Amino acid sequence: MKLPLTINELKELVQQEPDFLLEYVERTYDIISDIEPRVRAFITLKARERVLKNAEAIMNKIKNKTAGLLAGCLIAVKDNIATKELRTTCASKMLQDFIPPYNATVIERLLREDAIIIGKTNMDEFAMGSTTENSAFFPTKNPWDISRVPGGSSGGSAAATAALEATASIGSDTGGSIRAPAAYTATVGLKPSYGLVSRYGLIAYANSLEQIGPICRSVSDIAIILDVISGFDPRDSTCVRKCPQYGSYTGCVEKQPEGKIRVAIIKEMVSEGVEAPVKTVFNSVLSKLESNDFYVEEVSVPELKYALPTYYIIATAEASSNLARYDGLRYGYHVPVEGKSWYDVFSEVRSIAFGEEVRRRILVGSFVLSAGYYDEYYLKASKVRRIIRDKLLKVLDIFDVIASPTMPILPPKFGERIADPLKLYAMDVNTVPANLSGLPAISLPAGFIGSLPAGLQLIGYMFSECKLLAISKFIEDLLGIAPAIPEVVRSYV
Amino acid sequence: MSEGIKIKIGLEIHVQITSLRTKLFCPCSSDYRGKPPNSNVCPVCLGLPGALPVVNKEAVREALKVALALNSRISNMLVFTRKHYFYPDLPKNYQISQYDGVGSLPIAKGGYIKIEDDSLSKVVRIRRINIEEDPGRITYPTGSMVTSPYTLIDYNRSGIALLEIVTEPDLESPREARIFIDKLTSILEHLGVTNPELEGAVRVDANISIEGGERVEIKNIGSPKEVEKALQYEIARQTAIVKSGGKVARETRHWDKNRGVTISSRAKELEEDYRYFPDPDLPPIPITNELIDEVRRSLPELPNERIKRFMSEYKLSRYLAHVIVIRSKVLADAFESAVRKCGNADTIASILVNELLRWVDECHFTIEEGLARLTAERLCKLVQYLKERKLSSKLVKEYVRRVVIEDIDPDELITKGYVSIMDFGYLSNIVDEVFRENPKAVEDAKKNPKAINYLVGQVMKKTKGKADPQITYELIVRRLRENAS
Amino acid sequence: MGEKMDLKEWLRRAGRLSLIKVDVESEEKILADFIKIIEFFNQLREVNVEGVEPLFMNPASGYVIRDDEPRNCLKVEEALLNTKEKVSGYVKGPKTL
Repeated sequence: MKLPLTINELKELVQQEPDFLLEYVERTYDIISDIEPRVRAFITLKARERVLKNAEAIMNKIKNKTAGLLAGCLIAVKDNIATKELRTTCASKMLQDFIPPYNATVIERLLREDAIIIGKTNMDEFAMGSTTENSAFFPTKNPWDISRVPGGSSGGSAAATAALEATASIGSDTGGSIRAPAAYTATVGLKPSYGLVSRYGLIAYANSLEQIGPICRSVSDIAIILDVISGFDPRDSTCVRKCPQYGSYTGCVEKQPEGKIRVAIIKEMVSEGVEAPVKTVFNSVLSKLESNDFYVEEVSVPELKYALPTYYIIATAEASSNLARYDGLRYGYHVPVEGKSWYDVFSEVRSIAFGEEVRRRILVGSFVLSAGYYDEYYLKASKVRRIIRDKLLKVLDIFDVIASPTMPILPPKFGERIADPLKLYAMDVNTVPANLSGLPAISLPAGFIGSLPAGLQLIGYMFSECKLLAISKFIEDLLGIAPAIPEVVRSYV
Repeated sequence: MSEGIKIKIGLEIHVQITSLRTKLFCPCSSDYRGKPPNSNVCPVCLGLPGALPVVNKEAVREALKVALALNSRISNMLVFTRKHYFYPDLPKNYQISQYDGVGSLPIAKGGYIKIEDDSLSKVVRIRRINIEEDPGRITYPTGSMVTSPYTLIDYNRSGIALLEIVTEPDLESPREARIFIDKLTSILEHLGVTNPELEGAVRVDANISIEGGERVEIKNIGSPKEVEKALQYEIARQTAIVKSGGKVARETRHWDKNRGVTISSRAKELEEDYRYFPDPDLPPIPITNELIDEVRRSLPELPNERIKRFMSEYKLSRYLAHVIVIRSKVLADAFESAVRKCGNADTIASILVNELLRWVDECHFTIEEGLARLTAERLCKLVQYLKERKLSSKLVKEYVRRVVIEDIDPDELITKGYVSIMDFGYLSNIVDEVFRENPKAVEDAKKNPKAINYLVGQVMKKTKGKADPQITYELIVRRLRENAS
Repeated sequence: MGEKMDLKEWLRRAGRLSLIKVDVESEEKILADFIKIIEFFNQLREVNVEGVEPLFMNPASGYVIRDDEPRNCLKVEEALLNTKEKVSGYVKGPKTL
């Protein structure tokens, strides 16, 4: 059996021969046994036997023709999404042994379509970071070069997808946390429009900025998963009630986009902050686009200069609020309470069980919300947010997509960016604008410098996933890179 | 009232919207009282990571009813704010509430309640009305906050819908405060929004300052009945300080109802910075004029209207109408029920106000419990026997007492012979007997009206106390007049 | 500038507000990073936001509201599944004084 690399390949295979599903599980777990000690994508991994049992049940459903859209898919889920059977830690000491008594909506939908969730993946603690180095447990290595980071905060999910440890994975993106690791691992990662995918069960970092999204080896896979996980959820007040495109993304991808596709390059996203090798890859993609009937034009949005501070003010403010609940009483890291005041108990729990970056962001967030500073920081940032969003919408009124390098630098080595918080935050310069504006954004593998992947980011208008995915598929076919297999697992293909 | 000391009192009243079936932001049942601890919770009201709030549609309607009844200006958007503070009973360590500031709005601002009394007619202004969630409940294993080495927390109540109603400091005495609270709870009861009899459904915090001095906040007053006591104590405390040349400190104090004192709440050394910001999980929802009009059309009769109607329709005195309506909606409903059955509004009102309430208070029943015994049917029977002169008004008092305390039907009491003799013919004969047997007393009585009582006493003796005293008196007076001529 | 001194006090205060222990004396790096970050945020002073309404969230179309219908809660065992100290179904908590 040739190892299926995409969901469609897998589905075709098991439709023809349902028993292959068991072999697929075995082969995947062989890869995991080989790769995991080096890559360390997973925090919690289901035992092989258990997954084989799940697979058997699904095999029977396939035979009875009652199987769902994702029958046979082995999905890795970022560890900030609540799974009822599985420990959900957010890669933090605070939730080290937390077992949610409920499933996130996204998980329910995946299970309903007969996906098998094989484990929970590593991340930056509470999703705060861009390299997965902030995990309280261990760092994840980039399967393309294990001396380098896989990106973050959904580093484990991206690594699992890239290294064939899963059919596909699910991550979350608050300031680039799906797109960054996708770019660094030569996978495809989509941050959907804000409100498209239910956040019920996503352990919150910054509620007005984040979305759950898929990380896959091809654009078609993204569309299939998006069809399953998106859609109105009455348990999430920020979810869109009606979106005409719900359920049709798979169809969108199969259609060729019509007419000349108009692509905007925002000057400020390709400027001095972006290092030369990345620019090289990006420019070569642009050339290919232009010779294939794309219309490419450079525009300027000077306000983007303020996107990073705006993002971090808002994100840290929301984080300081969302993480207030962690005091060890009802769940989480615990300190015995008898004889102690609540002030002492809470302080102790929160000072010990939160890592340095998390503590830093909570402190900063409390500051920007506090009386006397709220107007100057949080309120001001919210106004700048509107300015930025409106400018981007203006661009997208006349262009189909905005294109940029996903990341300003190639995957750094461990330790390179993490000592200085501002250096770390600077990695998000091209990804935060889409979160501030609620716009859908995808990262596609754009090319390599040596063995190091670089990503192409496309940003579309609100709720334009259909068009965005169609254009992405077209470009994907043009570039011929996906599905990209790292050296370390090439022998398994 | 308070010897001319200038007093300013403002109230912050938290009422549960008890008419709802679920909590404010989650579909857990709102019927949490008496349930085993932590058996009425879900990821949302427990503050589990990943849970999200969704607002209860009916809660909005109930809040709008209150805003309309209080003549407040309703905001055009429903916006929620996070109010941050740490405390063991607050699962998220922030409360989803409302705030009057940028990006936030209370559900209504302004408004007023007019309070009236025999000696008082005053407009008390409302500052704002907020919708917010209730925290959980902390209990102390030793019964005392001070001596318990740990606490016990039950989140069944967490997430219940509350309305916070804040007044301007227009109240000038503890009595006014109590009258205000009675009026407010009557309005809420008539709206069907809050049942004030439920434990914990109405909680009051008060702010009080005297002689333009610093404002002291008194928390944890518990039931409205305690408000007058707490405020009286606090005025005395503050007056004593001022009289001895000191200055009242601006602080928060707790009302200890067992000891009848307010205690300084030293726990608040931490600066209170609630870091309000709009809750990013709850996008603003428009409050349309259509919705407001619809709610306005659905408003039931409010206390003021009902009092006026009782006065005009049933010809009740202002006093009786006021007491019946304000004391309890259930009482007013029972009154109308009985009157519809058998008329005699004034008599029924009188029985309810002068008799029922007295026994209910003495026996520590709720009004509902009292009315469950003194049903409309029984009330009407009493009225009928009064009219048929089977009972005197004095005996009716006795009857009501026994109906309420012993749950006996009036018919049973009559059968047992517990009746007054009002039969003129029968009593006339007894009076004749007494006149024959007491000629000297009769002569005395002709000259001195007070001596009539002796004759009345003799009639009572002969009828073993059952003669109706009033009729007996009348008959004796008439006979004396006849004899005189 | 005087702001640096203020920021030290502010960091302490932020620690009290968020119940996270901060030892500004010994943890120099935390203070240095905090100051750097706030100075980074101060770039926004350059932006003119006159007449601009704040954007707190990107609201979806329509709005979500819930009917007043009770639904099953968690069972007590599920609710307290992760509670380390409990007493007869109550969550055991620290002193409130």
